[in-house]
Amino acid sequence: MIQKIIYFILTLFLVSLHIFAQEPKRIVTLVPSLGELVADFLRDDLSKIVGVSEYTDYPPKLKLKESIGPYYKFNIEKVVSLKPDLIFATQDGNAKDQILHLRELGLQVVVVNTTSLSEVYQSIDTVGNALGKKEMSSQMIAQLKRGIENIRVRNKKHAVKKVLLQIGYQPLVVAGKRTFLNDILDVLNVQNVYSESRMSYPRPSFEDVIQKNPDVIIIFAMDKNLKSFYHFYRWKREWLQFKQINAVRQNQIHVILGDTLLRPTLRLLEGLSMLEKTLGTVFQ
Amino acid sequence: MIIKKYLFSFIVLIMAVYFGVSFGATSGLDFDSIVQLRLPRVLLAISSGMSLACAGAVLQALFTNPLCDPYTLGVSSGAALGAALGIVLGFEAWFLGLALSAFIGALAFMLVLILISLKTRLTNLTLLLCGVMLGFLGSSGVAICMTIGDAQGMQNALFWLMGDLSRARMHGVLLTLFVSLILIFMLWRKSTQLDAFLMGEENASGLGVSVPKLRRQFIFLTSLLVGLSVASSGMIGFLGLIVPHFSRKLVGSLHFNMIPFCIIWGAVALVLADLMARVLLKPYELPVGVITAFVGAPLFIWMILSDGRSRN
Repeated sequence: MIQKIIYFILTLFLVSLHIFAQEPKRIVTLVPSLGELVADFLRDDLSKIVGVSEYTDYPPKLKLKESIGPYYKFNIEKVVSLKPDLIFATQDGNAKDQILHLRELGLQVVVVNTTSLSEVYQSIDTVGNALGKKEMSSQMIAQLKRGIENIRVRNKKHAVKKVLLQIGYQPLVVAGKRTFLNDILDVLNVQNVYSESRMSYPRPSFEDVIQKNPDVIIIFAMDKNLKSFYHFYRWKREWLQFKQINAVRQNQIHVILGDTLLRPTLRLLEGLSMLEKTLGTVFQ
Repeated sequence: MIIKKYLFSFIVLIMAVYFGVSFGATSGLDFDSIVQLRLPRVLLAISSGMSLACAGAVLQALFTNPLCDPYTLGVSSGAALGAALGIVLGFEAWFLGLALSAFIGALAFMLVLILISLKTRLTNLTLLLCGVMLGFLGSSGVAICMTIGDAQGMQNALFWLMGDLSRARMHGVLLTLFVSLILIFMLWRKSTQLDAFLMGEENASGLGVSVPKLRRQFIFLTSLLVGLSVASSGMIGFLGLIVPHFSRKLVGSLHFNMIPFCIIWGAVALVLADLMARVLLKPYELPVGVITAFVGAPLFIWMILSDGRSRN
């Protein structure tokens, strides 16, 4: 048994050496955030990316790439037909059995996890390694860390406020403890009202929210077009009936564009400063 | 005459399989990938399609109720509950995990049904009602799992509940196909007893059929069939209701010929429905259950209306 395990680990090691030794030429990314991250690494050489998931729209050039379908249910046949030599996926976004299927078909899939800030750093490292750009990844991580540290220092002085991060409506979906959004709120020195939740994305009742009484409610808009923005503003209106909540009384319900915050790449810093500004209206 | 009909049905099946294998989300896929990706799906569609149609035909005869379908007895809800629990417990990371937990769920519900029919001297109607209630119980259990489970896994489950053939793998599919064929053969061998059921319970027992025993056997076999189908490809609605009606129109109600026709046309219907699910909105993939209902419902209405007209 032990021999088998050792043998297995050894082959895994050799295989990974073999793969990481040669630079991948045909890359497919299975979630928008990884498309963005890989594009960051490849800079102007985006021709290596042959397929991206639906909604991968940054950098804009990726919109022209072949789409393999939505991340939660991508099209395996499409992925195979693109003949990738390296595929990037996330553990929390993509369906586990689909990833398994790709591996069974003999494709090389690198899976990263992005449920906390430290995992985000790690994911950048993993992606950089897989692309054979180790130096660049450590630079990127250092840059990200420095930026985040700056923001953390900037925000030390506030009195701690309670924030609700809303991602869905009907049912109400909010960010819980095991998300990197929770870590981000930590950086900004505000408290996520659902930081004690065991689930990553809990679905609380309005009653519960009233009891938690957040000082600020932030609604993430997932889409850029005007129609969906109108939709998110309707969510905002829904809150106005609950005058018991501090955030409602003080007019602290904000709709912000989620892309830069929900996709953990270098653009996270942009997102953070935007969120900081939004929250900053409270802390004066 | 009947041989001509068989021949025609076979030709349609072969054409359906040919189309199913040669079209997909992409064009110009190489041969190996077709064998790895499309062939298992088509085979699974054949297996599930014939299982559902056959189970539907048997249950419609057993309960002398043309509204019965494979899911009426609630066994499929058991499978769904099993799968949802499997997702909550994190079994889905293993490719067989979901199918296995679904199958265990189906078996558990089937056991309850058989126990109910053993305990009391029930008529068909009460058994049917118990089955429907079990179905509700199962689906509310699924709803509970959905609230406590993690979002990504449950999205996966939702797809699977609407019918999803994309989990097909060659080795698993061959096994499913083989077992389904055996079960269907066992059902087909009892076709004359099934004919007796069509004349109502009293008449059947008058003809020397041991109604309660036979009923249990039929429930056992169809439950296995449905459980296997739901476990491997999710809940594909409507097919098990409409294909038996269609076959009855083709060859009449005697099960000796009707069940083989159900098998062939069930397979044809699901292979074509899956093809549409893959191709219509590519690269998005529609749940195949959506297609079967969307195409099946109008077809069914048309069939009934035309039937009424010819009778007048």
